[in-house]
Amino acid sequence: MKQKIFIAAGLVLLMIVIVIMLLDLFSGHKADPSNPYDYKMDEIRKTDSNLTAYTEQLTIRISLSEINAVACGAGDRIYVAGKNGLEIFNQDGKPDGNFSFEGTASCMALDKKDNIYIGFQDHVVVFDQLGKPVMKWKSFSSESLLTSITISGSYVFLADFGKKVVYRCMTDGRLINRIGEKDPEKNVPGFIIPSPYFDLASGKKGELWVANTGRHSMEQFGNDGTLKSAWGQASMAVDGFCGCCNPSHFAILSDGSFVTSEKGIERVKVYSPKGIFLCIVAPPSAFIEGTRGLDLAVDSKDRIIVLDPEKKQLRIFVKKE
Amino acid sequence: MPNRREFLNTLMRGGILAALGLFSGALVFRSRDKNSCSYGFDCSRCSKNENCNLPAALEARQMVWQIDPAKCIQCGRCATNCVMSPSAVKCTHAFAMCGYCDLCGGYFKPGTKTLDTAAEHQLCPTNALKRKFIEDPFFEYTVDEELCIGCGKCVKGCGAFGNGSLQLQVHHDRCKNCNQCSIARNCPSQAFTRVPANKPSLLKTFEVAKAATLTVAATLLSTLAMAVQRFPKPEFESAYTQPQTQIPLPRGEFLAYLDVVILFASLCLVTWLVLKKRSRLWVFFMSLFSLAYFGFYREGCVCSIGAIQNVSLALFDHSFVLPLSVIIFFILPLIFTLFFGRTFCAAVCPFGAFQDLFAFKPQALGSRLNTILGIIPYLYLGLAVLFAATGTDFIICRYDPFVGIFRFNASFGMFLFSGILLLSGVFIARPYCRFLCPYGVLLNWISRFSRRHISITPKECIQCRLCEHSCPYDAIDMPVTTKSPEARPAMVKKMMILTVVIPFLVLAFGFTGSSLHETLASVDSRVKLAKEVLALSAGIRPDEKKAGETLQPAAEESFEIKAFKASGKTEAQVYSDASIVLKKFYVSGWLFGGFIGLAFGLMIAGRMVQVYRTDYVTNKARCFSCLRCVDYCPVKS
Repeated sequence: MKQKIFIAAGLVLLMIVIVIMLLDLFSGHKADPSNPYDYKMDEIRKTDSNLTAYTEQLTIRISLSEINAVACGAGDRIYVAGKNGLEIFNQDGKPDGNFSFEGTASCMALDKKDNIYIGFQDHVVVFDQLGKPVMKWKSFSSESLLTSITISGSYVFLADFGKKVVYRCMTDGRLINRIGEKDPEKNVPGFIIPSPYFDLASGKKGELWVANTGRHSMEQFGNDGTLKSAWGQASMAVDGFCGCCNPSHFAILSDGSFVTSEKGIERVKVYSPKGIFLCIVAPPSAFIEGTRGLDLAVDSKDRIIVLDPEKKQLRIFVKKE
Repeated sequence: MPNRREFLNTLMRGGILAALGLFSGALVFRSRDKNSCSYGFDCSRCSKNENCNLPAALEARQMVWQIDPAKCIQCGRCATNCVMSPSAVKCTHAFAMCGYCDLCGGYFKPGTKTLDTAAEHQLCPTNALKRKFIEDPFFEYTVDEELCIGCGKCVKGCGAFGNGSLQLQVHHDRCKNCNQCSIARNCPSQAFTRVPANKPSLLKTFEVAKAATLTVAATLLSTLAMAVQRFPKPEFESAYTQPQTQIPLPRGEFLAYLDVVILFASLCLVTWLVLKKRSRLWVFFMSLFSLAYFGFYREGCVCSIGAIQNVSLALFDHSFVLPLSVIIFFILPLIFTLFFGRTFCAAVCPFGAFQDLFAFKPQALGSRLNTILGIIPYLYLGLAVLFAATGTDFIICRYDPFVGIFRFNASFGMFLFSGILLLSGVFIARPYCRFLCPYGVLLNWISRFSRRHISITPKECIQCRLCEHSCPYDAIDMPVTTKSPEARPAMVKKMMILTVVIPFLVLAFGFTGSSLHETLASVDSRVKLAKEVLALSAGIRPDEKKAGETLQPAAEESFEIKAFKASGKTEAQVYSDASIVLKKFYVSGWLFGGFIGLAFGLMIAGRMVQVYRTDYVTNKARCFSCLRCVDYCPVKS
């Protein structure tokens, strides 16, 4: 009797083990969707809708496989450049031309004659409106990585992430001087650019503004490279620039206000000419999480044109009535 | 002059030996799949550099687990699924990519306004990430490995806001290199992969990362080959030197062969102790050594039982790298068993040695119960091979009851599982070995034809019956009560019945197995994903909807779905993958069912066929050669 009890006990325990194995294997239980260590960005991605002063007026689908740069030309024609080509749209978003080229455009600007200056990694190629190369500049450096270009009068300014410097050139490509280059003797600290987002633009008076992203600041330089003013603060709050290096892109409105875009917390905002936060153009919820490279342009009516590389769209925002 | 039975035994032994030789040869010299790299990544990273002419097993030598940061979605499962506590996965800092930011997304909690080192501002739940001021505006961040639990929180923060220099990597000084990594099994994005032990890191550097994240830079650099550093080191004015990122190297490759040498030496020694010395005490000491070395020191890996799965997968998946040491671990005990019986089970297998320590009140189960329970290992072996061959899972490792104890870090569930098994072992000696061990099935069959098996008595049995109850494993066959062998016509009749019954059982079980292919395939992660994607895209049809069941809202999407969306795969690809798996399971279901049918048939045959015996003899199939019975025998050599 005792033996039978022992055997029964042993068998029951053995069967429990087998049943546990089978249940675990075939129960089809779903893995826990929760993550006890989740990085919760929901709160910081939330914004007060009252701060959003713009509305999306128009969305334009881009057919290029990769898009990196947007610019506005005469007649508010919108130019989008990317991998192996460029597309042009009229102000209503209708296709108005395109041409292709070899290589990937990283930045773009137009001069008063509507010549298109396109930055390719370490050099610039100037195209006419039909896509015919007018001029090809020589390479700045094998380490160069041009990320932004702007034209102010007879000067072309270029931001080089690879060398962390701004070039002031003539429209024919002749280099005049370097701006912001680190120079301990002159106590120039140099730009702090941790990731390849290094934007610049010229203001309404032709002054040069550069995004010193590592310092989360917008800096104004004279043509000789003198730092004239700066503003900006690092913060995940709506009035600051988040993450390691922002603003990733910016543009300047006709009244001298700044439109900025950020990565990390994807958002487009407007600051006053003195750097005071004014409003939101597009909150994080308007973008796919993880979107980077929100290049900006502004047309003559101060419509804000946002390049959304994740959605492959041009998104045009206008101020709410 | 050998009799007919001996002649047939010799013939079978020769056949098995030849089969094992051919099998090993096929494994060692199996052809490489030229279309897919054994290592799972591009040849430019391999020291062989497309010169893969060596047999895969010889070439690969040793593989270790690693995370591909490009696929990792920081789901947190590395922290919660590793058999080690804390996890062997650690955050690793690729300093070459770091921006040395003041506002580090990996260090500070979202929304932090004050950028200081106060604990309440830190994102890391264990404060494992350290911040040190270098010079304005640069801060250095280092990971305290002792504190890091591999949750990936900082990795996500760094990736979202910064350059992604914080990355999860398996640290091989902590990783046990499990046969089937517990994290890999649960990784929703299949970011876990095996890499050569001499190149154990998949840390993203600027070279690898060029195609990964930042659109502009990735695009720009695609033409730059490896020449341009995407994240140039900040120009420090102080004397700061950027640290080199170190990932601990895995255990030396030669140690895998040391294990093989120790296995071989142990088998030789135990065989000698069993057959020549006939010393139970020394066999017991040897089992303690095996428990200490293969169990607690080597922590249950590598083991011959688990090697079944590696071998099965290698046979069906030519891209799977099977190290030579694993082949030897699989084959060597089988060869020893073929010649000397299950001396491996006697004192070399740590599982057996461990269970032996708990057999306090072993009870005889009787032949009928032994036969019925004896079918379970066949089912286990069949399922283990089925799931391994289809690349679904390594269930032997998944349900390894002792590995957690060997490693002193079993989860509560696993500890309970082991505890129940060991408790049953108090009354049913070696329950795992007898009624679960899939390797035992192979040893059982091969041992039947062993050339020199342990005998209870070294000379003639004197029928003293002292050994009758000595075996805790019911492995002593008693003399039969009938006075003479069974009559020939009765045997012929039984034989004729079996020749009909066994093929019928094989077909019937095969059909059942194939019918169950969807159930069996439901274990596979690819099929699970397809089901989830289907439910998500089409919604649950009303006729399938159970009471109270609703579709998961987007906020509760599983990590598998998130990983699927991040992977860029289409739904069609997911369904196609699942369809291929289902087809494999349909074919395998037939084989699995047929195998179980055959086992049943042979079990019936074993019960039907009467073996005439006049002495107490060891049952060659079931005997573990533990020598307990020998101690009871008064006849000494």
